[in-house]
Amino acid sequence: MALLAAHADILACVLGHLAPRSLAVSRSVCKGWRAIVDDYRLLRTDLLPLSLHGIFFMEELCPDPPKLFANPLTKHRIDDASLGYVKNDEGSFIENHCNGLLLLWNHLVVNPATRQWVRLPPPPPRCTGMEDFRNDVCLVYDPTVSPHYDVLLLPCVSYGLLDCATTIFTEESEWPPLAYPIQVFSSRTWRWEERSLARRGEAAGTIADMDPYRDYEHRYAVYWKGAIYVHCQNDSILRITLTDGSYEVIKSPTGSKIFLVFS
Amino acid sequence: MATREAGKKMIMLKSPDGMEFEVEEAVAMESQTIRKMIEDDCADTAILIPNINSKILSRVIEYCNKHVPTTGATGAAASDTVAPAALAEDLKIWDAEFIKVNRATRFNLIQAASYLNIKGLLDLTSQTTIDTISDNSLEEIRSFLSTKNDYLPEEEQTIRRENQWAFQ
Repeated sequence: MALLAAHADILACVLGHLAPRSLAVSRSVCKGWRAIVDDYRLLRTDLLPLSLHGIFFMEELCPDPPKLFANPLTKHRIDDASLGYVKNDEGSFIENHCNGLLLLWNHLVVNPATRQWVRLPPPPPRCTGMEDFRNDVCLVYDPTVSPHYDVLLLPCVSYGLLDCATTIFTEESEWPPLAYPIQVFSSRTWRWEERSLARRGEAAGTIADMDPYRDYEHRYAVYWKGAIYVHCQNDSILRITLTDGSYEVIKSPTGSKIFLVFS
Repeated sequence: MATREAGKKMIMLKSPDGMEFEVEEAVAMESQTIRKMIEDDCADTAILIPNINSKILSRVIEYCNKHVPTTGATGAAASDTVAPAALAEDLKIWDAEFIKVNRATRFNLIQAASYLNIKGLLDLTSQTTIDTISDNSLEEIRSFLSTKNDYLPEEEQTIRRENQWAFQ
């Protein structure tokens, strides 16, 4: 333990690189480690553990400012649920959210608990040949994994192909394609990056098989064991591994039948 | 002794075991600690670097030499023509090779990077250490670091309960 005490600064610096989940576990290694984690306040106990404090809701067709459903204590802490403090010309339309962070139209990221907000740089133009597709946008954030977040723009099939001159796709083309071009913003590097993900395994289907994109359909994503899982078209799940630039499709056991029942 | 050689200001670094290293000022200033000494005019004669032996100091200098920004340096024409992304990729590969050292050396490098305040080297050495313990169980971490579990069973239960979410 004498060694730990003498090198507390260094150990704190090393432990500071641990993901929050591993850091929380490491408090159980021995008393010396716990002392360092606690003394240096390495664990963001204000963000953890994840628990539900409230629900934002808003009308999608005629979007009024968002409202918050929560107990009075949380409502008191989040005193402006309409997000009036965010300077956004187009109002505060919540486009996506993840573990307490909100993504508004115009690429604004808001933390309603701290009233911090930031405008992301504009994403690069769509890749040539992808003009027929629209981008699904989703935010990925998990404070048990990292204080950083990613925003993904994933091309999806809209209302079929428009026969644009540069397209290489037909109705029979596999979707998502073998080389799937996506755009990723990382708060760590603070820039957008174009990635071409290589597909492992089968596609979800052909372009003709895809349910037409419906407005106001939201895609949600989570980090899990080093990969990002995104709920996608036809209720399939994409497992994206950014480190090696690959992805897999996990098909829904029911396909798109659920949509048919309700349509 | 600060000397001039080919228009570049040189700085003398001295390790406690008596070795002297003459390095370019720009390279030495990769260390925020040395930068402060130079800026405060405390670096006229050789700078003694306490607690860092010559073997480790020479590795640290090797790291700084590689990471000193090439812009503005004379005779760096070759690297001026390389795209920044390629250069960054190059550095990453170089870093990965550089950090292939045993545990004792890595610990000494962390200590040196911390004292000399070299953020890049501190991040590299810390991250490498973390990578080796991140995916291991508590027992594996303890045996890897020769650390004993000094909790009583009920104490450990309490600590676990404080962050139950992390064990699920």
